[in-house]
Amino acid sequence: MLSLHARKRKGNRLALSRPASLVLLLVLAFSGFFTPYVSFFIYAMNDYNSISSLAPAPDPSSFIDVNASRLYAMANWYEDNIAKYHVPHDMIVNTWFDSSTSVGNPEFYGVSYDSAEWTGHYLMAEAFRYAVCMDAGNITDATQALANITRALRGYDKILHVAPNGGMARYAWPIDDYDGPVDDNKYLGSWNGEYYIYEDDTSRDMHNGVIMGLCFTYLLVNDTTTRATVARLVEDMLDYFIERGWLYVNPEGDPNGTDLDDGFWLGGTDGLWTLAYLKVGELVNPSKYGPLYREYAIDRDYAHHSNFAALATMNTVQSYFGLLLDWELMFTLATLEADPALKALYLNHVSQMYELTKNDRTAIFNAMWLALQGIDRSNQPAGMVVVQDIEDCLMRYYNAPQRLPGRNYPVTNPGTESLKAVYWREFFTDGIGGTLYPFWEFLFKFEIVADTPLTPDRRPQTDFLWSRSPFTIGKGGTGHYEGPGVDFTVVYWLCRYYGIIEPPSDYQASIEVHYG
Amino acid sequence: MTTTVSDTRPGTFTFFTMHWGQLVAGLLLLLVGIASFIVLPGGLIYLILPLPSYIWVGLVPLVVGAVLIVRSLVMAEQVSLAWDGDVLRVEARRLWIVKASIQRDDMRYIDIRHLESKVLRWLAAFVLLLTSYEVHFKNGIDLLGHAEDAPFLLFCFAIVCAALGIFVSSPRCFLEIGTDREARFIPLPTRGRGSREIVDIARFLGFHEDTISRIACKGKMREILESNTFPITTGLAFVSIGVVLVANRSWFLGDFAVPVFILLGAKWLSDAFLGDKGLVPGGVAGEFRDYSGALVAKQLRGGTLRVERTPGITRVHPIEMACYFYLMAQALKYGFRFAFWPYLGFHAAYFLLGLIVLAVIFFKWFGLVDLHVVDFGNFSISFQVARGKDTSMPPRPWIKWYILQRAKMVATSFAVIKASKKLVWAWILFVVFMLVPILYYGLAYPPFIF
Repeated sequence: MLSLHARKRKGNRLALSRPASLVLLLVLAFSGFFTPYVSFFIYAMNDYNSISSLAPAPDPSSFIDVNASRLYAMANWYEDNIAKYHVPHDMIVNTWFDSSTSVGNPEFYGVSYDSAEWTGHYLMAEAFRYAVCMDAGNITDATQALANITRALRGYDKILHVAPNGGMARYAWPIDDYDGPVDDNKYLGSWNGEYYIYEDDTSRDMHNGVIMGLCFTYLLVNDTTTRATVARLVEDMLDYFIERGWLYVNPEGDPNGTDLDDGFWLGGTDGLWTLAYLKVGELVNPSKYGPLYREYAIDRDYAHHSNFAALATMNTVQSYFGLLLDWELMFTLATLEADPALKALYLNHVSQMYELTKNDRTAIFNAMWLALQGIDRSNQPAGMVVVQDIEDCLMRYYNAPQRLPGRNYPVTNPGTESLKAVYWREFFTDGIGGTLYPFWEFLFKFEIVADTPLTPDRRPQTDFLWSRSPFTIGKGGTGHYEGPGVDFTVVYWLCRYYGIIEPPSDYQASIEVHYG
Repeated sequence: MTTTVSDTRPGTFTFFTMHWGQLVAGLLLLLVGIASFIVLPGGLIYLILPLPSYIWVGLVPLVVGAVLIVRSLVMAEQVSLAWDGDVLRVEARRLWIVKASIQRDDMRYIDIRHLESKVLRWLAAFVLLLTSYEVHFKNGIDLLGHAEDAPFLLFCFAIVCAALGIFVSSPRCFLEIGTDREARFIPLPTRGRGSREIVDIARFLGFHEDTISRIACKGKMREILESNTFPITTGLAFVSIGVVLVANRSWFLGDFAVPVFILLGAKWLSDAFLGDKGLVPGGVAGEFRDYSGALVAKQLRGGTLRVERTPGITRVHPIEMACYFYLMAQALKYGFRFAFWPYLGFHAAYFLLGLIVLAVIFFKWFGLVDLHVVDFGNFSISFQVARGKDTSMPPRPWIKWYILQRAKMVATSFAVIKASKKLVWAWILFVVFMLVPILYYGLAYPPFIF
């Protein structure tokens, strides 16, 4: 306000002072420019993401007839291959081989960064496998599954306790095995008297995968030692977070941004996620975590704290991994919840998530949704083809070398580019968009993607298929790098357990695996 | 606050004025902003958007602090008032000199008051409190003993609270002189109770001795307390609820409940202690009619006075209105949660709290306030006049009397609703504010899913 400033009278009111008028004018001018400026970018993102929302439903006539025996044989091949080549330090990794035309010999391992999450899926797969085999009286395979579970739990025990401050590492190498660079994110730790180099900056993704894996292991593996181990690991993880307000603190004493507590409605962590963690706590120690779960769900109202599932449309073409995080925890939470009202609330959220991706050919989401709805191949409503969709996805792993064995052979899908994606990409790279929004890539990448979700046989190799966008067209590769294939086994055993995929008619069926 | 007052020339009154409160608050916020950028780690929380937390707890205080410092420095000035016959000459020296002359005959009113209720001021306070509570306080408490930065976070929260306390409790005091054509605003030294500077200025401007003696009166606090019982009580209650919600996170009334309760409470206390009301007719000095209250003084010349009663909602601040809407929604959602989500059951404490919040807002909304409207022909001004309290009554009967009086006011508002458009709109708005959350919570989670 200027000194001695005068405000003229306008009728019965005082006119705005000159500085106030100036501020108002600036605000109006800024809004007048900024509103359409922001709105246009939001429109561009929405239009781009409509590639997913407008994707057609899969055509059942294109589905490959299911061969349950082949699926079983494929699952067993993956089981053997994973145990042999992809669990070097009791955690799931990608493996680099010295040959692209034969199995060859492993040279080094990669993708340790997300290893904890994929190990969670592996653990869940083995837990379902154990339950299926025990039900079928197949003690040999059940024992093998239990051995795999014990191995993965050892890996989890290590990453949960290797850091001096109790935070969970992403991965840990025995110090003699580590020959990579020691960068800002690598630390020295110890576990069971051995020294390790461990990778930190552990994200929500890793914790979600771990808690899901531990949950289903405890739920399905009726083995006292295993359950005691899982209970101990779950309690260690939960106590760490509860003591720190659900914040992860790195070895240097700084929070790294991983916040598992409920955030605000339109951003941050869902309250439902926090509840999933506590619900697993209640599973392993009801007297300790049960009241806490109730307090969070009811008194703190976390049961109603979730982002609108529709907001996840921003993840349906790019950053697809965000959707998997939601499914991991919601599948866990909704499976464990016995209270019908709360379960209905959670299932309502799950249904909204499902609507976003039901045409995406993402078998794990479809399988989890069927399991939560209590739908299997025997009671699938007429006209619904979700069971067949899942079977088709798994069948397509066969004869697709980037899936089975899972090597990184080049994949291209010429002619599948979405015109919409091409338009927006060009608008921002060569058109006026780049000038207007020089930071566009920071906000949204507008990648060139396929116009429809691709089936697994057309998608490029990766570490965990269901975490990647089904619209990704392809990528190059040498054929030396091999993904573990847990994306197959987790869906297969889950579906077998819930009766979505039928048991094999021939348990001795064999398959051919082609390299090159 | 320090001011320099001197009478260097006969008929001249000179004083130095600077908004020290704003300067101190600005410096504190600037300190937090700079320290946050230097010390705070990159990732703490996901707030409203997944922006790094230092954007919220560093950039926002930095910008607000810088603006306050610049404003307070630019507005520091030496003001001279001088009567030259019937002309009041005003000269303000700061970076530049501004002069103005006002004929005594042109003056319709002279008003000494706070310009307190700026939207931006309370909006900034809300954002600062919200972000500091979420980032500094909650994370600081959670991480204490586990992270190196935890003490720093709590220290920042304390500094922000101190800055906010100073910020909201130190509105600028102004002299407003109104003519038929315009109103002129002259910053004054911020007033303490019975401050000598203000008394001197009032005397210099020719306020009636009755008014001056009321301004100088040391017993103002009692008058403020007696004439603002409702806002002070509810203001304290709301701040207390906010503090309880901070202390016990098992009590939850919405994501924004803590800053809303505390800010709304602070706003009511600020209005009560610093606001522009509490006027009672004072004496008559020559052709001027004086009004004075615990906090303000007005000198009016001519004009036709009429007394109006209007629902309290017509006098509320836009920020207050937004807070009412939010609190009504939360009171309904949590107080009546058994109606929306039967499985949650009836919770007596939440229900009672919900009822109290709704009742307080209802009374504030429909409680009739007395306005003195002075029509000067070309324009009119209006100001709220406080009602006194019957101090002879002991506390318990007084509380009974007070509640009855409030109830009667609301009943009166029903009785006169046809005659007052404002009341009609107040009722429509209140019903809409109640219905929106009821429909939202009733329909967003429809019964069929249970």
